[in-house]
Amino acid sequence: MSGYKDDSDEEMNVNQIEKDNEVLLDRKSHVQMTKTNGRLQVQIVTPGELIVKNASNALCGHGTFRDDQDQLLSSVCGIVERVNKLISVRPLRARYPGEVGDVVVGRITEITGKRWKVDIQARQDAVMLLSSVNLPGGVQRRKTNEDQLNMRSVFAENDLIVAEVHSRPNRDGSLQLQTRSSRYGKLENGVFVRVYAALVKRCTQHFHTFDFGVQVILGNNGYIWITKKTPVDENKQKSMPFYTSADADKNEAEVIEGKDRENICRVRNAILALQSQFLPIYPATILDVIEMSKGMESKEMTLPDITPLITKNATARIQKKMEEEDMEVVEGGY
Amino acid sequence: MSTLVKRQKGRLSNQLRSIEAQLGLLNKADGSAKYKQGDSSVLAAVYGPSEVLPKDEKGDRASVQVVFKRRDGKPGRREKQNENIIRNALEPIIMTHLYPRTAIMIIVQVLVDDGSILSVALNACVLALMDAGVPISTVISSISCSIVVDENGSQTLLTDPDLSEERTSIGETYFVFDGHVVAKTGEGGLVSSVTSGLLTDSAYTSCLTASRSGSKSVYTFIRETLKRKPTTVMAPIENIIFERDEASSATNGSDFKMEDEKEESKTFSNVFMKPI
Repeated sequence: MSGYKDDSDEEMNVNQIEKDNEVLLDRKSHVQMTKTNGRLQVQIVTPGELIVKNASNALCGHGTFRDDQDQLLSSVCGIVERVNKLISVRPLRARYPGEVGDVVVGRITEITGKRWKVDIQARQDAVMLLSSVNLPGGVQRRKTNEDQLNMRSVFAENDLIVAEVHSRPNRDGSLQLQTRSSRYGKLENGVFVRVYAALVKRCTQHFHTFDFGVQVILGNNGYIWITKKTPVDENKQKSMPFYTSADADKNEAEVIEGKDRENICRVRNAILALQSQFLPIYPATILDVIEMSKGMESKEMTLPDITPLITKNATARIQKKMEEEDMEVVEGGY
Repeated sequence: MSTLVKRQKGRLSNQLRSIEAQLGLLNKADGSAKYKQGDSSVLAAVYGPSEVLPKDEKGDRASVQVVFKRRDGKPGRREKQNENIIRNALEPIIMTHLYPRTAIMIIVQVLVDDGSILSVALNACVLALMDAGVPISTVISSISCSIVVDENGSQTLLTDPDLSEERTSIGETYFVFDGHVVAKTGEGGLVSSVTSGLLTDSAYTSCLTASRSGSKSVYTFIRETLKRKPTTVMAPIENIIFERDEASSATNGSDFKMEDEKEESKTFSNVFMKPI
């Protein structure tokens, strides 16, 4: 793994891959791992590094290429992933690539014609058409010219919104968003955190409410929104506190205080602590950190000396998970 | 040609200056890197693959554009030349065929020019490209050399010269190497070569050899910078021997062990790593 022990190390890796070349191609595990000093590690490759030596029956996915000796090499810096025969490298530091159906948190940057431009930490700003939002009050009807003039009352510049990736209409790779659901819309009264997009783990549910009354939206794009849990209103159909700008103006912003504020801070700092240790961010790991940080003030949690300590459980969880996956590999692979 | 001559700031003739790199400092760019060799410091930013002007559009691949900016003053012929040299070295390694009809824009901003600026700029560009996640087929690295003549008339080769050494030199070379080839075989791997001034055959060959071993250190540095998880805080480390960080080594692939390279660390003793 070490770049400095180039010759010997690469040799070792190659041999290992060569040895279980067959196994590698029908392993169950998704992310490729290597064992160093008895600990499992995710395999990080740099451009030009060898992934599979004899790649005649492997498919090369994103971030890989085949050279003239039929070897599969990496073309970006990242983590090797494999689905059946398809081998790809997911870049570590790259921007949010975008996938249809993802929940994303974004900020409106511009209003042009009948569309909003939204910053979602992707290469280009995403586009959201007027026709793909719900109007104030949740009215369902065809959008008129008048609506087009009143777009700022739905979402204004610098508003934070939560939306879903609808499609990828353009060849240039820009994404289209939609908020046609009561779950999506404007965000307010909370804390915004930005992390590496690669760290947000894909879950079945990206809206999560913790027992202590804090709600997080873990945007797949690495933008995260933390707010106080709102009690479900029986009279309204809406269970979420999301509005368009016009709706938000009507409601007076509720002041969050005391314990809730403290809890929100704790969640925020737990997420930052996870990021500083480059650990996956999902409800279980966030809870691990919060558990470990009990008895300390939340402002202490982001200190460089403290973060390794409070993320110990989360690290152990990931390690265990990787070992379990490896067990599966052994059971299912041979 | 004697190889071990003490020069300014106590450096040996084949010793590199300390190296520092920092990735992703620019928000708007797709990838960025600040790269320092001694006092020479360059900021490189990569934008793209993105929209391209019709006049630059290429039907079958991305067009690579390089802008080289001086620290101050108007860009001149020299900057144009540098842009061409950098583009010619980078274009073959970028997998441009994957992104037809787009542009990959590389902006190089010199922050401090203290010699070897072309090499420093190229290394910064490679780091920025990788930070942007642009697919490249291999990692290249570069080192400059200067030949100086002392009062006795004997020539001395200086690796990674600073500005004062460059000014007194009679000939300069700039080489780019394919890091993987050099690391594996220890020879070959020449990608690009630019010389200026008066150089004899033997001087050119010894510059080539010195640059090759120097570029290997740069290559290992670049790779280690990338393999490290982006958030690790690294204190400056002497003698490029990296200790394993117990607490943080669980989920990342970066363990810094360099026993094999101890020999080299004697020659290039002060490579520093800075947090990203």
